[in-house]
Amino acid sequence: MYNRVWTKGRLYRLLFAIEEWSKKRVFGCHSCGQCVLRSTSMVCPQTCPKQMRNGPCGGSMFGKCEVFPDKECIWTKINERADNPAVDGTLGMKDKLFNKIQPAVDWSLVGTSAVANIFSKKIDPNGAIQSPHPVPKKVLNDLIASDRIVEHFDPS
Amino acid sequence: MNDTSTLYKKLQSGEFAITAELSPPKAPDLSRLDKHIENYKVGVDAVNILDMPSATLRMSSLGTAIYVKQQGLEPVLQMTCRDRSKLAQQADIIAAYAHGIRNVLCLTGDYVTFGDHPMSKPVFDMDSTNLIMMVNQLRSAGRAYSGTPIADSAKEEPFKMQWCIGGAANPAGNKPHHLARTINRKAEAGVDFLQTQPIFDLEAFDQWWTALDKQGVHDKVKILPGILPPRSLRGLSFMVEHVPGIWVPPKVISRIENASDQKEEGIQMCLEIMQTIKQKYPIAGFHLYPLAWTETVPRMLKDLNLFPAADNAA
Repeated sequence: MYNRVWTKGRLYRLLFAIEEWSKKRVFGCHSCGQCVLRSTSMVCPQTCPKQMRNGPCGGSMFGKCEVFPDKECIWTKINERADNPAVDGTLGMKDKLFNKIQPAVDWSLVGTSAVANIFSKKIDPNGAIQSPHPVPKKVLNDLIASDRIVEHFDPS
Repeated sequence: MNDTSTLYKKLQSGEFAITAELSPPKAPDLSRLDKHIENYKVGVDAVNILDMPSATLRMSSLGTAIYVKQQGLEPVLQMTCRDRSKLAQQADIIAAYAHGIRNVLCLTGDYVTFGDHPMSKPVFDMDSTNLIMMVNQLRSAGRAYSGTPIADSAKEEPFKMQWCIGGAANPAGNKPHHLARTINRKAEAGVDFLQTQPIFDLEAFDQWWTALDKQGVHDKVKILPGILPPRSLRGLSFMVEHVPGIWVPPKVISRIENASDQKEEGIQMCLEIMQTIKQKYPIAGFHLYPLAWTETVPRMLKDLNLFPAADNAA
């Protein structure tokens, strides 16, 4: 796949290299450009073979991964950490885990810097993309009721 | 033309619904399904058309679902995220709707390494929750993933497809309150009913049900527990080893192993599980996994008095 970072300037590439290298070392970052670590107990959901962003798949059994049974399911890690009061207190995880559905990966941001994307308002600090994407049932119904639906889905 | 499915109406009115599974053939010969379709014609409300189960090559679920619909059964189109991008998913969903299919089951899909094409690219452009959210948007707003209206010109009103949205749940294998979080997210995304993996362990099911109760999921979603009648010990062991996400407790395996007639014992065990679940929990129906053993379905439904009264007398 074409890596978008080669369309950027030298300074961007240098800063991105530092960000990518450090995040890869610590979290196994896959450079999706929409970092949701803060909402997922600091476990990167892109390290899941199926890139599950909203809970484990049906094949995760007894905390183990479906694809690599000797590996721990990343969603077991995320949920266990969220249950831990110390982690939960620091990150305010429980609300995010319970109430928020992560949108699917926006592939136009893959291979770019998540930090730069926060500054350019392509994602918010929790990693939620600002490009159009479906929203949960209740939010959608409210938008339809308030007639804001066109405005919401307008990519500009 | 733009009407909802019979399954949806049944679930909404609180009637007991029965769904079952049908695996498409690998060879391009749809007449092979006819005997299974005959077995399903009475008593089964809708039939899931599998989308390459265990990532093994089969005819597409859309093509098979159209045939099943023509034969007079209501299909539930399975859509997995394994092989399709956002664009391809929506293209198939629109095509299915145009052919009169009204039920869609949103799944993430088994990983490619389980099947006969481990060298294929796993797409996973989104997960099942996002797929549910996308279909819900097509239904309530008539807008595609990107927000563009489902219409061929700017003057036209967006077309709102009346989908009945399904999802899957696994009641065993992980901590019940962790599983409940995932189910809660699916409920918020807009799912109408959930079919579970085959249930063999009633204790695990009870814990899972209690965890869902705590989250208040039951008010939002209808649940259809999965039932799989094991045909033999060999079949059961194969499934435990090769199909992801199925939990069979050792006492069930030994029960089938020690039975003189393994087929009959398998059916009896399933009938017991179904009776217990039906009495104890306010479920919306059952989802049957007879695999290729579809002749058991009419028999099981008769034994449970779930067969339509008129056909029961005959």
